[in-house]
Amino acid sequence: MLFLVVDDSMVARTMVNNVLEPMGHEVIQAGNGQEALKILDKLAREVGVVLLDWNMPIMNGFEALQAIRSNRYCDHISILMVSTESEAEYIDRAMKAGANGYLAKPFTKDELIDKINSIVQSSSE
Amino acid sequence: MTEKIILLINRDAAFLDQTGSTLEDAGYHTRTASEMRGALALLSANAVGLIICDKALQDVSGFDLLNFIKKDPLREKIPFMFLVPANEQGGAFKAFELGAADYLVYPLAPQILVDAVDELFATDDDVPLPSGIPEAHPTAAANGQTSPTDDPIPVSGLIIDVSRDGVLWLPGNVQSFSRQSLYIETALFGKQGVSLLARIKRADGTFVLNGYIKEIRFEDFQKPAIIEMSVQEEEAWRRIHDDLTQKTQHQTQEAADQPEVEPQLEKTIVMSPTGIDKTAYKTGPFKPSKKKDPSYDRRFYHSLIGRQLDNYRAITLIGTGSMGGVIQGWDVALEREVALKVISYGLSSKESFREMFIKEARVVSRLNHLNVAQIYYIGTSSDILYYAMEFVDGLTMKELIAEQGNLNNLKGLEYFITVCEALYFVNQNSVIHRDIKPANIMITRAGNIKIVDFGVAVSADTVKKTTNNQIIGSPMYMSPEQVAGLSLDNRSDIYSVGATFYHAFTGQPPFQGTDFKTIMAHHVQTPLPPIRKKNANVPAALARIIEKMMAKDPLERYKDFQYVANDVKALRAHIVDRKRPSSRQTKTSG
Amino acid sequence: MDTILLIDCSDDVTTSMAGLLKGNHQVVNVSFEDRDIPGKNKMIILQAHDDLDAISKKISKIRYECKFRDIPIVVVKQSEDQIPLEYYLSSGATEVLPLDAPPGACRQILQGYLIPSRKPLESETEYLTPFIENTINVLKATAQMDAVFREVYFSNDFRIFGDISGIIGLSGVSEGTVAVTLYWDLARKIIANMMHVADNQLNAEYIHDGVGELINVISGSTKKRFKGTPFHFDLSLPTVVVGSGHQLGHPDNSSIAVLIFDVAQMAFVLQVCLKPKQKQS
Repeated sequence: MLFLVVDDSMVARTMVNNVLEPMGHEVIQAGNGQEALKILDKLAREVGVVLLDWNMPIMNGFEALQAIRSNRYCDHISILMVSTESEAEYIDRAMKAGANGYLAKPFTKDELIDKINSIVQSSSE
Repeated sequence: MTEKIILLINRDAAFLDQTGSTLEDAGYHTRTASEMRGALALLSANAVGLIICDKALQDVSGFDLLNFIKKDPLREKIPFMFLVPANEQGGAFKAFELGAADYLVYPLAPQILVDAVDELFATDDDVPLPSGIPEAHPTAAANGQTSPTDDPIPVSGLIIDVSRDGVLWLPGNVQSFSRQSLYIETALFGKQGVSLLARIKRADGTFVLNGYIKEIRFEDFQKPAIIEMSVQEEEAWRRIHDDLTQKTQHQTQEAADQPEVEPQLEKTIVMSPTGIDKTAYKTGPFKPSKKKDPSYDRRFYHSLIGRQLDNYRAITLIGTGSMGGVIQGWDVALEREVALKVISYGLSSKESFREMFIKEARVVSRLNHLNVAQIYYIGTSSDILYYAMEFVDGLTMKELIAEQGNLNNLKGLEYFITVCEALYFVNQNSVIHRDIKPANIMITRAGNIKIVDFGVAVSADTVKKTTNNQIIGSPMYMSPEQVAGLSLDNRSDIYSVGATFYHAFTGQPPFQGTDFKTIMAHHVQTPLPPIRKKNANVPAALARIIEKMMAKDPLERYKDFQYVANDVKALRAHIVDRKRPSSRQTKTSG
Repeated sequence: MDTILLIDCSDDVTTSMAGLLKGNHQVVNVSFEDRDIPGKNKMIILQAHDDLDAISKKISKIRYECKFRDIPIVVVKQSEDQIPLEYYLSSGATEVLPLDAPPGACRQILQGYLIPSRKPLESETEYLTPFIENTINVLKATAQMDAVFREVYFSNDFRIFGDISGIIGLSGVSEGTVAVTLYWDLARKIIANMMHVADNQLNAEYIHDGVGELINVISGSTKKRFKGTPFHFDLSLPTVVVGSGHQLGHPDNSSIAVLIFDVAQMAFVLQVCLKPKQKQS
């Protein structure tokens, strides 16, 4: 499956990348919400899951989440919010805006794998 | 820029076609989009020089797009022309507020559009390339490969602050500048394209410039980098730029006269470990705000922070005075907040002072009154002389006066009465404060008065008499006999309280002057300036009370604080009575 | 008995220091090359000489060897030396005393630094504990490393000594700054582990980015522990700073907690300055 990993930290993106690739997934990366939307313009059909950080410059993850959810070409895409902002109201807001899951930073490799597997499973149902 | 691409955004395909060809015919290249996302994609792929956008787009409103673009540091400078229908011109104002360069009303004649576009391009020739690719590399510019107007001008000794978030600031050493950019050596690392703030302190104020990181150059990842900051065209920057240019030319002239200075400068920049190079402090024309070396006393108080003296943990330094520093502390044994007063090294190294201090502080520590900040403990830990006293959480009367202008109201009268009654109690116990002043009267959060700094002044005064080298205390509130170095009794405190409340009720101290000596001489010789000349709203009876307290001859003052308190209370009763609408007005004589 | 280490001090300076430091201290004078491990010492006194560059390097070296411990480094300089104090302080010195300073002041300042550090107050423990726990937690979860909290001391000077720091400004119900500071080797190791790559595959750009992410995750995950308390805050964007000696402001009326951690035989610090806007009742 093709994953779009959106995080302003190169290290955070690479960390996720290096977990997903050995699982047999493909990964493309974006540094902020705006870049992510641009990529989805071209690749909406191919992308299966978007991982979105919350705090990013230019366009944050929540704004990107709203933009993706208002685009009918992206209806099939599962969105996993990955953020240090993990207070209940943040999670609430994201889920109400159409996120499919929420993973709080920091997470272990196993926690990420579990979350990915459950998202992939439910999106292929 | 050789090509000028215009981005047209409108949800009406026919309009896009028609307007596009009009502009193409006029010699412009155009790209078209019908919604925000398409527009953003085109913006990143093309060097767009102008955006012409309709009010309503397919996905969002034109205002949203405008707002979005003005927040993007790489694109905010692209001129944005708004199209509004003739019947909705109110929207134009909003567009200008958001930063639009112009607006046109449609339906519109092709020639009007072309003229407006021509005009915009004629005035705006320095639109940055949207992809963030640097237009002029500093080294390339220094080699003379670009036009002379863009050449960064080298500068030395200009230390500014840079920040990503406006909260945390780090120093930056400006290496050179041009009209568009500052080249800053700094340890703060960023990424290309992120926004950056530069704070410049100057004689006429502190200016914060907005911009973004256009390029980062570093030879060694472990050392400071040179950041090219693209600075927003703002009035402040224009002024600073012109001023810098002038000063630098002046400096270059000076450098030419002294050729040996230059190589030395270069050398220190290289050997400087953190960008703070010593020559910057000496030879640069832009002297950084030269911080005065903190006094040894201050440095001594600082050395105590984070340590534990006997049972007291030193938390933070809350103030310094001529006698010592006050540190917020915590009593480990009794688990309560305390104020630790640490005596300055100058005083504590005098054996006579130490003895006196301890003796007097013991007397004061026995005073037990609600309005007197209590002394808990006197210590001499590791040669350090200090005492622990009640921690008063509130404002000093000095701060209160500064905040409110003056305290000429009922609340002020209450304070006056409380202070007099507390000092009556103190004097009855054979203690004279000797340093009553607005800064030594505190008002707690709960509104209670606390008189602080007892005991110290007593000892200090005695020392002053014996060593006679330094004035300790507060000349603005000193009694004439104190100035003269005579022996003091409670009437000296009465004078000082009078001076303190003179200040509180009028907002000005009784005597002013440029130096201590002048003010002290006033206390002895100059007749007291009438209170009501300084504040006509002070009741005449109150003015008389204070003037009596401040009589030059102690014999002409009140005998003790009880008499003062009684008079003030009577005055208060009178004022309160008069404020009651039903009561009849009566006249009192002094 | 505590040792006070004098480095490169002339006979005159040694004698006057011994006079000022009378008491229960053993004063030892050595050359820079023969210096002992600074960890054993209560205080280090270094005499400055003409070669500014060399003295700055010496101070940095000693500061590095102190492994972030609260060991004051006092520089004694010539009276005629006009170099600003900041030059020495930014290299790692704690205090600078010119030879013509009043001896009474010098004695008190030196005595001040020799007084043992205080322990945290209850209210400080309340907000420091979540930072300590989360720092350990973040390193365990993301870098699979076991960090151990060693000690805390308090300073009222917010200055960083290390190769690279990630700093984040806090605002909201509480205000302040949090900074993580590491030496280069440890930073490389932690970031490599975070990314699941070998040390040698990392370029410095990743380390810069990773240290920013590290402070972001530490403060972000700690923030939620303060929900509903006077210590709650919002985060700004992380700032990454290279090199040592930077002073991050000198906040009035605050004390900065310096938390020292050990991991993989190396040390790093988390400095926390957090001030609730409303006083706790």
